[in-house]
Amino acid sequence: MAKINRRQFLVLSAAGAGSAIFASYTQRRASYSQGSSNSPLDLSKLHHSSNGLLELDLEASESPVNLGGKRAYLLTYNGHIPAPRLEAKPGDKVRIHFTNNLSQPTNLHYHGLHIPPTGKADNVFLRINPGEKFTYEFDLAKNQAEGTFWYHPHLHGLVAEQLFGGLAGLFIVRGELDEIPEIKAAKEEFLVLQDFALDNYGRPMDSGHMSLMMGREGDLIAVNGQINPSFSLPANGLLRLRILNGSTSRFYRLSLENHPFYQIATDGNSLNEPIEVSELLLTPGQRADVLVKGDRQPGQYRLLNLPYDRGGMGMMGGGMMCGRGMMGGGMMCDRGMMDRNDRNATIALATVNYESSVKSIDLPNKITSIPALPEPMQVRHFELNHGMTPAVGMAFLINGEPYSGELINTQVRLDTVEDWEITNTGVMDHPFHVHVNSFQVISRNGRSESLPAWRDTVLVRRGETVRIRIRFQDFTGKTVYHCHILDHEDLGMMGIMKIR
Amino acid sequence: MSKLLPKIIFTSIAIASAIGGAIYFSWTIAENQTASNQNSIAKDTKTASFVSVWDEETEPSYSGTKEMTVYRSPNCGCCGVWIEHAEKHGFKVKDIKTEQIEAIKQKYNVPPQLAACHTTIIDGYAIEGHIPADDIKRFLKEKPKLAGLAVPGMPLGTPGMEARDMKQPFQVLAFNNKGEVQIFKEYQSY
Ligand SMILES: [Cu+2]
Repeated sequence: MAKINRRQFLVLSAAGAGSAIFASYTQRRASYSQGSSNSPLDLSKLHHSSNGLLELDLEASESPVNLGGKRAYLLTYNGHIPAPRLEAKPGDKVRIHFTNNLSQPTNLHYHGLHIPPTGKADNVFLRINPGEKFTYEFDLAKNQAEGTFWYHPHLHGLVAEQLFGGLAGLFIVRGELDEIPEIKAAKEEFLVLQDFALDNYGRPMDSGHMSLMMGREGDLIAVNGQINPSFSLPANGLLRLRILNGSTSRFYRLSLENHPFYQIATDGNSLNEPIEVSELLLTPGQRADVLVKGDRQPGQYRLLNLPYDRGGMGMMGGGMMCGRGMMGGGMMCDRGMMDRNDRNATIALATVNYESSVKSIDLPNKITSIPALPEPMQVRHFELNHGMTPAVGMAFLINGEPYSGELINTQVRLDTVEDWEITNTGVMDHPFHVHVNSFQVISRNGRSESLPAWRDTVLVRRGETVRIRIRFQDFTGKTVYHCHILDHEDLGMMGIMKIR
Repeated sequence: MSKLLPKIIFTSIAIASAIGGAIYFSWTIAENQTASNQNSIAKDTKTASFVSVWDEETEPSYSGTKEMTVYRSPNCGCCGVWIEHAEKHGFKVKDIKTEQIEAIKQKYNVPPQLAACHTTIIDGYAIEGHIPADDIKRFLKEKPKLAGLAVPGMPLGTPGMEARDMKQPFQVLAFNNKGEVQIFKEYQSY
């Protein structure tokens, strides 16, 4: 009888290939200095362009890593959790020699980049089989936004499982933004947020035991592959945190004790000026760049993850079931299927320590100028929910349709502007992501959005209607839009758009 | 469970009568419609009459209570399919849509960590979530000193949650009114 059985993990033996991997692991180990971000950066974790070219080898494989002091066997790019950070500039050429050493087919998606959805670029329809190589090659446009982007697998049906295994890394586009004096003077840190659920062997928990309907969440939350790492904030200075929610389904509601955030970017796109916020809600796929002012009593402050209820069939939180209140003392440890215990809990994700004082830095006044988009030529409606369908049974749906892989759901014309009205009639929140072109939020539940911002992923809460405005620019071809709770995407909540 | 069918097969009736019916065909005209016209997705659920591994009757001798009341959220897309499953197995269902489902769960001592999308009351017991109907019959026959049964979460493959050939292993848990829990039945494969 078929169980969910799409994954066959490589079994690492002590002999043969296994020992080679272990050898390279011990060499890498120095870079995992637990809980400190001050160690010199391991160069294999950063690749930046030079002379207009970013070129690297990238291998996806199962690798042993140190996760919170424990040995884990995760899915990695070049052995790292998170994957190596890539940095390039607008106008650069990017060439990635990719090798798939996973036991499943995969591919790469360049989340948020404005590059072609076809060929050797952001082509999510590619299927790179185990053992195969593929060279990605594309140019970043001269007008590519500068900011925080990322890359991860995007082969429908396997996305959640592979991302949950650890496959995610930053793609930073550098440029004029980084030259604004106040931003340049700020201390820069990258925070990749990922969650993991490990079985007794240190491998990601089997999909069959995870709550796929809610979207799988893990109980181990890592920041840059570390549990509660420390970052330093120069007294009187500025700390620039560039944060990615690289989790499969988990939302993060972030707050830094005693310090507001001054948000300067959404999803890799600069805001007009810094916006003061006390909390930052990041859905899967979203990024934010914030500045923190070192103007409080020097000391230690926790970066907190506050509770957030993203819905789900009246399931109200509650603890892990292992061994608690069992009648008869039997073992019952189906952890993944139980609702996680932290919807009502606040967790420290990282610690910020004051360090020696610097000359005081002000916040920047003006960062960029976001133009309003012209009125739309067309308005489309998308309804998000899940339900029973004749074709596949229980599925997540857009306008009542699960993803088919072939059918083109939406045809749009290049160089036109459209409004998309996205309504969530379901019982869970769904973050909606569009590939290739960024958009602006026009209104939420009919109330116009006051903050001008470019985004590629927007939260549509249960019961909410969000109207976005999008211009299809520069690139034709087929691409997708989908829920970024990647289990929902894998279970059908994705549509194909053709730009022509 | 006997291995009835390798995967869910939908009859052609299903296509016509499924939730379904309206939603499935709505896409072709959807582009010009307003979203509010299409809000019916989860709301009406005289649903899929597809063939499921859960269709087989394994408790033919059951002679206990048949009347049950199901409380569910108006937006629940899968609860209606479970109701159909219960009806196929001879239960008579009073279907109540309510936003106050939390209060029902509390009243019947459903441990919060076992909560699922709908709550069924039968013979004073609370039956929480996508439980195979024949397990309810087995449970009621025993008349145990317990508060009810639960399948927490929404495992894919359970009755009303059939999804292609996905079959997540799951446990039917029994709980008492102190919130203590034991395994009533375990489904590793089905
Ligand atoms: Cu979703």
